[in-house]
Amino acid sequence: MRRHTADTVTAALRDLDPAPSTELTQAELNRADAMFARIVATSRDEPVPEVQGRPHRSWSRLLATAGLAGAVGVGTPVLLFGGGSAYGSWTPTPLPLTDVVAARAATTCRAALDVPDRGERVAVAERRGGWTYVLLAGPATEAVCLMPDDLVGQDPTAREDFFGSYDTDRVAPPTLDPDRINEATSMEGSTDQGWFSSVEGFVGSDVTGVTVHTSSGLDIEASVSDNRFAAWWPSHKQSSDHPAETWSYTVHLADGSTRRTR
Amino acid sequence: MDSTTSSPREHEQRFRDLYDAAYVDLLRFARRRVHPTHAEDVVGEVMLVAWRRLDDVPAEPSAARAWLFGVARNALRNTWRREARTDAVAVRLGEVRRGPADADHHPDMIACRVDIAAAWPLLSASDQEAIALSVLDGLTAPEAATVLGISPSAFRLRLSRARRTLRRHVDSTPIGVTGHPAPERSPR
Repeated sequence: MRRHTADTVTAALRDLDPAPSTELTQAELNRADAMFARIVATSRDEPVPEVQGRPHRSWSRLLATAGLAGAVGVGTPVLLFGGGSAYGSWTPTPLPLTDVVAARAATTCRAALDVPDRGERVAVAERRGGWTYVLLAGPATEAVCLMPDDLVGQDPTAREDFFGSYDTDRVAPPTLDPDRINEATSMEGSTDQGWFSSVEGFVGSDVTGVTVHTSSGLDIEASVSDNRFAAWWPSHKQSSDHPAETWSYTVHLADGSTRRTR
Repeated sequence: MDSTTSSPREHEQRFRDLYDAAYVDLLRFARRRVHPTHAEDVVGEVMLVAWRRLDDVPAEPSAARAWLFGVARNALRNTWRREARTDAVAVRLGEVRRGPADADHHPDMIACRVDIAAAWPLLSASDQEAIALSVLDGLTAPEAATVLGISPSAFRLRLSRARRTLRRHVDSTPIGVTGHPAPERSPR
């Protein structure tokens, strides 16, 4: 055991600063200038979107999206639009998409988010009522899109009922026991139909199904495909009347048993 | 900086001044909390918020910097609302490197770096955040409190507790233990 003075601890912390003071490189300066130019090229009159629990989205795409809009608040820009009533046709049980339709949904998702195709596979593709959800997964990038069925395979740029996000800093898939699941991301977002919540993650090799139980009383059958699961459901923007929603899972296993998780 | 927006040209100039003054500090703030390849994205997102809410940005430079840090923290906290549902944003430290530069340092300092690197992952994200805002980000208590959305006195209390916790972990760290990354997400 060693004892260090407070000054030594403070000095050592500064020595371990992962971002010490330094001059920007020319390349960094160029990127900063380019970023400034992109920012001031956007309308400053558009309200700043607010979102909870969203995964990271590409900055360059956000600025390239002319239709950027959303609610007001200290938040960060996201590719979501509007705020409306409900997802009336939503169903708690998903329908799987054919490979052809899933590929078309993936194409729309990539186009909307301007995600270059680096071989990401369609990890989950499902339909709930009139809405199509697709999760694209690759070694470093994952993308999630929610769109009305009639937008699948279409150009999404002129539409205001699309939600998309992507994460370019994914961690490696977790190593799971066969009967376990791992919720990788939960988030809330909105389209012109209103707010929704979604979850996605990984499942162990013995997991055949996942049911999400929400604090609002919904029991939602998640889509499970290979080692992934995903589900989404209509929700509300958080407020004093609608506090943050919570949920738990029932995991269905290959031997017919189930396991409840918090 | 004025508190209200006037012409588009003046708005852009005010934003230019803010951007130039705060860019590097905001980039360093982000690099302490996200993978370096993601840091510029965070800066871009925060600066877009500032561009659109310029009238809300405090006039005083250090207060403006704290306001930007607060926006960045909100963004990162939302990004990381995963299984742990934490309200704090974890901070990473650099790796302990040993080399010729250490010849200028007292052995106690080198040992302290090793001990802190080992103890840091044992801290809660809230403790990491309090210490980092003060020591690494260089904020005063009122500025750090602004970032966290709490009162200055509450921040001072949080910082004091965090420092005590760090000291306790450092003092109990077995000699020779080195740091390791934060734990992976746990299966459910």
